[in-house]
Amino acid sequence: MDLTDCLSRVHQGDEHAARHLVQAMHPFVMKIIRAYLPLKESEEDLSQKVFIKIFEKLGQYEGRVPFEHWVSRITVNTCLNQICWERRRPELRYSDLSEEQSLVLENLKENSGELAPDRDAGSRELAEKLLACLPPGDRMLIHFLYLEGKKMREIQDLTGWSLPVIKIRAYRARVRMRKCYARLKGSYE
Amino acid sequence: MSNPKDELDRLLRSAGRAESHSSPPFLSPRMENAILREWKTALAPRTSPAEESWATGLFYPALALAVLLVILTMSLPAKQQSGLIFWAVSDSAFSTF
Repeated sequence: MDLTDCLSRVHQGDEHAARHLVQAMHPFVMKIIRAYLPLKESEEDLSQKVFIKIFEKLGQYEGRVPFEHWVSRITVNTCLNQICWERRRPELRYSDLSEEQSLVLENLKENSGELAPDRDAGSRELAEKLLACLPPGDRMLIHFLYLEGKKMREIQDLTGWSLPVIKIRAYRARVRMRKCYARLKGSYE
Repeated sequence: MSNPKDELDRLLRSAGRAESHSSPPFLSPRMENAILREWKTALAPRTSPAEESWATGLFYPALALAVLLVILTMSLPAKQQSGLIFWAVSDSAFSTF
């Protein structure tokens, strides 16, 4: 189904077109939500909220930017608006880590080379735990930049933030993450 | 012994490799139906077109009639105005119908 046709049909209340739109946009929306919500809590509730907002604002979409960029900005803003109920961020301690995550931490300390591929899953879990200690905006930025390997320009399109803002926020986010990592190591040593 | 800055970089690189191999998020039918149910209840018109046209059709003539009555009342002499208002709020107006 053509996007323009699909959007106009959704606007007229066509359920089939709405279903098609949800199916097409779901993977994209969920990737952004997961960048924001690493603990996988309430991601279904949040995605529902995002889709309702998309449908509500569909009449405002003028086609000036690609539809995915428009959707991503709604998703990013909806995620960031959740800050009020998510103020409390856990303090990560060594005792909170699983066996695999502890092994990753030990490997990082003992060796200076790249981690073995069989440690990637544990690394990702550990990175997600560290990200959970950061404010949502920082978390999303680190996720986009380092886990998904997105370019600054792509992040600019997705978030609507300017390049200098992205650079400053990314720098601060890394500093915060490094502090979390140092505290985690401190709780082990 | 490696430095902490480098450790974080290596951790993120390894996590990024895992992320690139992760499967795309799955949309369950339950989730899809929940989103569409929300869409229907939140965004579908609350009244049918027939109900809407009926409500609109009744509202505007009633409003026009009320404005006309106010203008007519204001154009009457003061004594008749107060008499009319007294009649309108007293029982006699209700007993007329």
